[in-house]
Formats: sequence, C-alpha cells, structure tokens
Amino acid sequence: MTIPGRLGPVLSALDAERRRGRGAEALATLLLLAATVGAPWILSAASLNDLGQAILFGLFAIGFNILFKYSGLLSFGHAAFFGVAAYGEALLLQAFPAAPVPLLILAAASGTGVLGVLLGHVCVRRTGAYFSMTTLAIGAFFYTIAFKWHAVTGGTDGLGGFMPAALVLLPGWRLANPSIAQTYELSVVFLIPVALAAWLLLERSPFGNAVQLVCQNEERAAFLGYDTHRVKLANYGLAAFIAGIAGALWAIANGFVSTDSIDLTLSTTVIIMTFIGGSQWFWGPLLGSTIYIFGSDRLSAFTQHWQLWMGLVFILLVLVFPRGVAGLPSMLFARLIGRND
Amino acid sequence: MTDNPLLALHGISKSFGAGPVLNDLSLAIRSGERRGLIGPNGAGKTTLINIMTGRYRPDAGRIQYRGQDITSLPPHRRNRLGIGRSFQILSLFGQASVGENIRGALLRKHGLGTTAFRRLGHLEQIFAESEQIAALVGLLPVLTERVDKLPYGMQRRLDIALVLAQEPELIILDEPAAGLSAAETRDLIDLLKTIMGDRTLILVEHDMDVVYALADRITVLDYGRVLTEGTPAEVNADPEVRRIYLGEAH
Repeated sequence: MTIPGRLGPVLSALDAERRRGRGAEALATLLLLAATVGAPWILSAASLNDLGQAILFGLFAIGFNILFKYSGLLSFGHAAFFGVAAYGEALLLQAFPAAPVPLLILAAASGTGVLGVLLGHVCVRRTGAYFSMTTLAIGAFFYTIAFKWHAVTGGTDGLGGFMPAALVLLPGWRLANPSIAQTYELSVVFLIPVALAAWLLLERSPFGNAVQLVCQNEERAAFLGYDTHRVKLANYGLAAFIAGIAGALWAIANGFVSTDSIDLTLSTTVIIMTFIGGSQWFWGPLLGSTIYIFGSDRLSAFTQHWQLWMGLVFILLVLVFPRGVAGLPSMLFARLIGRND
Repeated sequence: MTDNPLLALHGISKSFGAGPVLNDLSLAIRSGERRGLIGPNGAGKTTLINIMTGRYRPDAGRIQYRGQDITSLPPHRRNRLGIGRSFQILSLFGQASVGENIRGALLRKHGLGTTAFRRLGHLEQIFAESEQIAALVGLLPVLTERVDKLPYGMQRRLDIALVLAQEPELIILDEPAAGLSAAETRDLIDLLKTIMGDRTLILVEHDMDVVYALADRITVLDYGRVLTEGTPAEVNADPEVRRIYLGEAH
C-alpha cells in the first residue's frame, strides 16, 4: 500500500508509552531473579533447600500457567508431563550414567514436549471445561501406566538407585554425591535460564504475540492468516516441555521417582500454586510455589493437618486476592488512584 | 462473465437444518472489479461470504481462486492466498491496543506472525507501518488505547484497518457501514475510495448509498440464488429487483 508521507519515526514515541508498563515488569522480573540467585547469602541451608524445591515446582507451575495465561486453557493433568519426564530422566540416567546431565535433562524434556504436541492434537481443539476434562483423562491415563507398569516404573515401589556416584554436569565437571542438598544449585543453574527463555518467548517475541491473539479471538486470528490450531499446539508442547525440564530435574534432585510425581494431587497442587502467586503475571506461579513450599514446611512443624490450613489459606487468598499475590501491587495502585478495573 | 475470474463459485449449495440458504449458486468476480452483493434479509449474503472465506464448507459446489480449487482450504490458508475480510459483527482483539491489533495483521503479512527468535519491540518497521495504517483510518490518536474501550465507530474503522494492513488482493467487506451514523458512513465511503486502489472488492451492504458509491457491478441475491446481475443503473432499473428488494427496503 502506498501511504503518503512517512509519519513513522516521530510517532513511535506514542507506542513507547504502552511499552513503559513493560519496563516495570522487566524490573520486577530482574529483582525476582536477583533474589533467587542472591538467596544463599541470606537463607539457612534448610531454607535454601526449600527454595530449591520452590524454584523447581515454580518452573513446573510456570509450564502449567503458560497454557492458562496465554492460551486460556486450564489443564487438570499437567503432572503427566512432569512425571513422564521424571521417569524418563531416571531411566536415561540408568542407561547413560556417564552422559552430561544437561543433555539428559534436555532429552527427557524434549521427549515430553513431543508427547505434549501429540496429545495436543486431541485436546487443544476443545476449549473450556471440555479441554480440562480431556487433560484430566490424560493425567489419569499416565498415572495408571506409572502405577501398573511395574517392570519399567517400579509401580508403587517407585524407581530408585538410578543416580550415578558422580553426576557429569559438563564433560570434565563432576558433581560428587549428588543429593537433595543440591536442589537449590541445580534449580538455579538449570531452571532459571529455561524460565527466562520462556518469558522472552511469550512476552517479547511475535510467537508469544500470536499465542495471545489466538487466545483473544481465534476466529479473527484465522482470518488474518494465523494457523490457530498449530499456534495452540506449539504452546501446549512448550508447556509440556517446561514441565518436563522441572520433572527431569526433580528425578535428579530427589534420587527417587514415585507415582507422587505423576498423580492427580500434583496436578492440583500446581494449580493451587499458580493461583496463590497470581496467574496473570508470568512469574506469579514462582511466587506461589515459594509461598506454598515454605508455608507447608513451616506449617507441618506445628501440625500434622498442615494441608487443611494450606487449603484454608488458599480459599482466603482466592477470595481476597483473586489475582494472587502478584496482582497485589496493581490492585493497591488501582485503589490508591481510585480506578476500578 | 470473463474467462479468468479472480474468484469463481460453481453450483454452491448450503443448508442449515430446515431449508437451503444457498441453492446451486454460481458467481464470478473479475480482478479489479468492485462487486456489490445485495438482497433482502435471509437472502444468504453473509453465508455466501462465509463460504468464500472458509468459515463454512459448502454442501455442494466448488470455489476457485485464481483458478486454484480452494473449496476445502481453511480460512488461514485462504487469507494467505490474498483474501481478506471484515466482519458484520465486529471481530477484534478487544483486550489489546489499536496498535497491537494492527501489528497482529502486519506481522502475519510479513511472515513474522509466529517467529520465536525476534524481539517484537525491535521490529521498528512493523511499528512504523502500524502507525501509518492507524493514521490512514484516523485512529492514530488512540493507537495505545484498549480496543474494547473505544467507541463503536472507531472499532468499525479498526476492523477495516486490519483488512487493509494485509494488502489483500481481494477485499470482502461484510456490512462495513452497519451501525454507523450518516456522517461516519460518508467518511467510510471516502476512506474506502482513497485506499481501494485497483484491488478487487466484494461488498455486502444494506445501505444502498454505500453500494452505489463503491460498486461498479451489483449482484442481487434472493432465496439463496442469483436473481440478477448488472451495473448499478441496470439493477436499479430492473422491475423485479425494485419489487422484491428496493421497494420493500426503502
């Protein structure tokens, strides 16, 4: 189209206004990541281990929320991907004890991502409750496999003894006696870069833009030439891949994989974590998992019924802060200037 | 009819439940033509557009675009071949800004729609182009506003801006003046006249002033078939058209 004049460069300032809000978001992201990296100087060893678990489950929750926030799809079976990757990682370590761990994690997560794309063909054509029910069935299906296929998964006994004496982090760099004490270090080194890449992809790239356009108005996106099914499928695969990275690392951090890593409870825990933290911010699930892990750890010191109290806290949070903890600053700000949206 | 129409429909039939909406309908649009599609309510105009653009599959018949059979192609593939459409009932990205809406259309046109390894904010060309398109349809002052907060007339113009942004070869407008005031409708006609260039247009519209101002050929639909076809003057003079359509509606 020939458009008279070139108004562009002068007017770019206009749209820069909209991008200003993104500056605040990028700053909050930076602060959050700085806090996780700087934690060893502040926290005790036990708390650091909690933080490692929080980051691990936070990444899993981020994977779950990539579907919910950006595609509007609520998955009730996301533990399937976490668990498949955890079992996969355990089996890979058994088979290739001398292979570099990042490669094994990537292999387990990539396999999970491919599985996600395959399963996505079944479920992303559905929306709302129908999508959720399909994912519930998928979750139950993979749980049953893990539970019944004793020869491979160990059934109710779980899989153990797959950890080599020393983990090969990179060729020439070994981690002796890998144990749960290193959860934090492993989490920071492996999970944060993955989460950051996913954030850039969804919040800053045309791909993330397309995912959000398809979520807002699938029909118009299709008439603008977007292959909406493939866009949703790609995002489902990404959500499975990220859950897979977390699951693979869980196998290493734990040294043991059981049906706990693939059951319905885990699928719902990740939803609770996400909503505590706030689903509308990319990093909200990480906040939520931190609150959940530390909260349950502290509560369980006082009472056996910590899950009851955790549940009450969850109900309270959902009622009082429907946008989660991450939604608090904007909620307070809106109240301060008397806006109501 | 010419030998090589841009868009050709052959024997299209479509029914929903009880009765046929389109009945063995054939139509050919030449390149560069500006075709008005008119007819009383329920004549099948919107269904016809939905069949042209891939929202519905016909029960029978074939659709060809530039000689290629597109009958079974989904909407996004037809769009990529050069067919752009607007919507009678507005269909926008309501939670996004005007600029983001236009950029969504532009990114796709430039083949960057789902690129993963580029920073959206660094695509200066896309931003500059989106501002130019917004200026063209008079939406530059509201470029950063959320679309669902805008007045209806502005949303209408954005709907058309999304079509124009992609520079489609064939533009299909489904009642672009629906819900607009007389002044807004005049502005719309002026806008479309300036930007159409030598593109091909298919226009469904109830407002006959808009049709006469923009179309150089008119097809009259009635009960899912073509009643008559001709220049605006011929159609206007057709006694049967006057009886069933113009006489009733005005």
